[in-house]
Amino acid sequence: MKSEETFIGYKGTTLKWMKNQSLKVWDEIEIIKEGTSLKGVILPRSELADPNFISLKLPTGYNIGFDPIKTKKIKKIGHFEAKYRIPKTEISQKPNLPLIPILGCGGTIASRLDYQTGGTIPALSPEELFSSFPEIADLARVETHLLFEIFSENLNFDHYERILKAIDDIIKTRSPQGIVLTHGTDTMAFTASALTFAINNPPIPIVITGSQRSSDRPSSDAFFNLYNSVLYAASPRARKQVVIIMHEESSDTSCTIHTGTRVRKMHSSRRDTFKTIGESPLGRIINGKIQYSRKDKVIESKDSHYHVSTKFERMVGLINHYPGIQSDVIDFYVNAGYKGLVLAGTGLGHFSSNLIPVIRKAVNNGLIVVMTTQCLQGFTGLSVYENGRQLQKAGVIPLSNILPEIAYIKLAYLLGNYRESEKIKELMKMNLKGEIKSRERFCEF
Amino acid sequence: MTGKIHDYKALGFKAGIEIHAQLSTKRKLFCHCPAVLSQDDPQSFVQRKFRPVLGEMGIFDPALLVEFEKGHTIFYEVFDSVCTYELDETPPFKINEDALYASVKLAKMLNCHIVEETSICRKNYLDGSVPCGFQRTALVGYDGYISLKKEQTELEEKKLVISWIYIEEDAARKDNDRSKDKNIFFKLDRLGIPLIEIVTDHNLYSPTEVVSAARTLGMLIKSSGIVRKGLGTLRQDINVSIAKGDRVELKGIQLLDLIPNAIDLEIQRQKGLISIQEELSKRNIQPKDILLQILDATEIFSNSSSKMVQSAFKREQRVFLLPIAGFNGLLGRKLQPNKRFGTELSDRVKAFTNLKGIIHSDEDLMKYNFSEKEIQKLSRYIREEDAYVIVIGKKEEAEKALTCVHERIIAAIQGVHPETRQVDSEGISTFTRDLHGRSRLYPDTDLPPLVIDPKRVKIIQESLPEHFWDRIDKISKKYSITESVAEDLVYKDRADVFEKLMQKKAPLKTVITTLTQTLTAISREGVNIDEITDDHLMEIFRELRSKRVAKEAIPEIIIQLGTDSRRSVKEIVSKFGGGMSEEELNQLIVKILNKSRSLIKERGMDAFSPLMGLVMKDARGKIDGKIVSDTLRKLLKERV
Repeated sequence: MKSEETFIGYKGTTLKWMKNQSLKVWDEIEIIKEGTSLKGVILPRSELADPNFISLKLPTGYNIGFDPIKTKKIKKIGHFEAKYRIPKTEISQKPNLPLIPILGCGGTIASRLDYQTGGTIPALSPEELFSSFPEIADLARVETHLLFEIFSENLNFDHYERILKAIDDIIKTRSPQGIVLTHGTDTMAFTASALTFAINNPPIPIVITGSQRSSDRPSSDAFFNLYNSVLYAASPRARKQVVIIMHEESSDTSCTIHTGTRVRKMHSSRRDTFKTIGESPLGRIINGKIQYSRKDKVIESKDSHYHVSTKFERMVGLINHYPGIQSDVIDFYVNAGYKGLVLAGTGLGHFSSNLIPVIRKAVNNGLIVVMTTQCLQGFTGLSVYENGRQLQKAGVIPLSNILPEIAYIKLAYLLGNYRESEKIKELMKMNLKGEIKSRERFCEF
Repeated sequence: MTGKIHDYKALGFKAGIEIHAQLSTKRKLFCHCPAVLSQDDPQSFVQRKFRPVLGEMGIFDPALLVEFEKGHTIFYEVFDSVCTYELDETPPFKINEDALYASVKLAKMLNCHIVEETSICRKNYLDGSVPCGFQRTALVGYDGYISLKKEQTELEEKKLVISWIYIEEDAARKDNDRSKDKNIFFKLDRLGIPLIEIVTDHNLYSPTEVVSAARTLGMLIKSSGIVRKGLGTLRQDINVSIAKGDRVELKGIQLLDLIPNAIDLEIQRQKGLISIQEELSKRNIQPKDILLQILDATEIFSNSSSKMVQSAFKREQRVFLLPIAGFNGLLGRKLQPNKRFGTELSDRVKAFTNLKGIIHSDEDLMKYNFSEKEIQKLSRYIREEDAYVIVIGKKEEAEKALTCVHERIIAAIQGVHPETRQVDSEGISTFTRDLHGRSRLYPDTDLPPLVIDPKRVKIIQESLPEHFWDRIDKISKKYSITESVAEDLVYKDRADVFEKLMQKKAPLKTVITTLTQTLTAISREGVNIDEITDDHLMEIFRELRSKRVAKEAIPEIIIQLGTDSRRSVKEIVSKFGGGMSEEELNQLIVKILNKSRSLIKERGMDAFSPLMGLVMKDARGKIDGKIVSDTLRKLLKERV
């Protein structure tokens, strides 16, 4: 055992006390206290927990912490090390089934309990996930590729690049029927839109899925989501575009298929957190059947060839308007050399009049500044009120009904791939991949 | 039900108790919902499927796998009183400190040590009773004791060791009215109500000791002032073993009176299983002799006149048979009233599969309308010394059932199988599941460890309420009543109202009769006296004092309250005009007898019935019916 592992999580006087008593993690001990005693195994301790206690697993399976200062005597009984390892079972693959690679990008779906410390850690590889859910072998030949093990709030454009390269590589070398990505839900919608913009004319369906309850829980939504995602990706009826597939409702009865550029996480913890905004979802999967609710297809660019771009501009910002916002917020982006700014304005797309001079300055400095609505639903309308007209005059580009986060990804993608600022502005206003709707039906709110 | 039918010492009998009680907090343990049960219809239903998860060692817990394989779909009934936490859609909130420190109080009353820092743990359940698939539970106290007093038995004074005290959330309530086949419904309202669990050491050596321990613990919990009252709020499980047997958990014993019988029947069962084990040893039957060789016996029944078989064939089911080497006669061995070893196999099949049971060679096969020819053909599958088990069903399900049977048969060679059993109102038990392993317990990732504040513990320790045995002593002296009456008042949880009534100068004798005898008698007649609150009783005695009601009418008022608690005492009293004293009854009877002279002359004592009818027309609900009939009989006799 490495020396730092001997005392995982312990520090200060507690650590000193343990060293004095020559105790280490996994030692089986009996603590003698005033009028009583307890037996147990010393566990590693979370760095964030109260430093004055030592964690003990009792023979009943319960965990407690004890205060060494209030302990009269310690008897060392033995040493017992628990090793948690999920066996990687070889599942016999059916050769006549379509090939579906699963790409592991971290998140709750690929996280498991750290039995020693009690925290959730992103460590379950797709192989491990697959051995927990053998039923998937009936749908497709599955192979797993672990790209990284992080929670999705830590994802950035570097990760998008890695995902895109992996997808491109798999498409070219493995000719799969479809691809499934397992991903954290927090920023899943950002990734979905990044992939949608960056992959031109995908030859196969690309499905992103995740879970709101980790797969070490009997009630986890991981299996249902993954099962339906593989089912969809393997189906000849699947559309060749990037979609998110997650629970449709709290019940384990159906999943929704969301277009990658109109979807948003709308609840911090519910299973049915993802909602398509401003239109009805692309479809649903119920009892193993795919049902489409829309006929429209993703707009195909004039360039009908499949190709992948991995370039994104990092110097793009996203600012929400709030009462009392100061102009130095915008100044910061200008001075730091940002190239694009997405504004999420109030209502039809407004920012306080105080900020118009500094926004004008940003535009004059060459930044592309676009306006979206923080209402999420409905269109921007910068010609209706004076404030809007002033913003337009200052050079702000209104972006119809695109979602603010999608506008952010789109702008980063366009700035990364086009030089001419006029071209970028023109493309920002166009509907490239279903991100802008020209009409909103009455029932879609 | 004396609990003395076995020689417990010679058998090496040992038992321990686990008691669960709901805490009377306003809100639930890990969310802010009110801790109340709903009487409403559900607002909506949420449908879920559970999956077993890999345990700490990377394997599936076998008991959880069994639940999964049943293929149940769970439906949760959602009420206004529950939130997204109960539905496993929101992580837990901080623990309810009222509940936590109430459990500390109880732990202190039981002389326990309090853990310095506790971890909320998860205990896996896959039966659907908890939507997240595990119950949140935490250790609060350990290593305490109470003294069991020398009671009505020869029992010496004894120290009952309290091993552990936990705080946990109650599970959802199964809705048996809606549940059908593989669709199981649960009401979410009970889920999350704080529970304490008290686990004693296994140092109880006779049913009398178990009853004494259960009564004392139960009373102490009830009198602690921290638990909810009423039916189902206190549940006790008993762990029983004998030296040659193994640990069996008896669940669902609601009444203390049932304990000795349930224990004796369990001992009888374990003895029976041990005798089967010994017989097998004599017959030299080893586990390797018991093969899992499932045969398809459908053909035998191709022209069967058995309706059961015919209807099974219509559903495309088949008949499967498992020969069991060397078991001839043993499947019919009686273990409990109406329960044979064959019943054990059948109960197991019912618990693990969706089949309704089994048929075996040691029972009367004519009752299934099998023909003699069919029975003869069946017996050709086995040797004379063997037995067989038949199940009827689809292949996969039937194979699963016979695999269960096979496992149970192998276990019988080793003797008693450790398991959990549900006890019915006669004390007879039925298999529910194998005992859970420890591996289903692990720390909760959603909540950090919790330090129990030593300052608060100290304050609690210094203000503990008096123990109930001190109270018995006190009220018996203060009101000059016998200790057994005082005990009765305290045990029946009527001591508070007794003292209140004494303050109001209610008549002592009537109060005691009402609180200790009348209520019990009425409850035995099947009236639900849990609905009778202290306020009701206070009101009855107020009516009595103001002479709006006669004391003879008290039983009838209580019966009516028990039948419909929404009615007030006043309403009931006004309906029958204040009851009737014995003197008034006498007058009424004399009046009726005077009017019925010719009837009495004609029929003599046989006139009693029609006369009783006449008297009751006016007396019903105003005075005890027995007093009416006694008085009428006496007065009638004088005239015949």
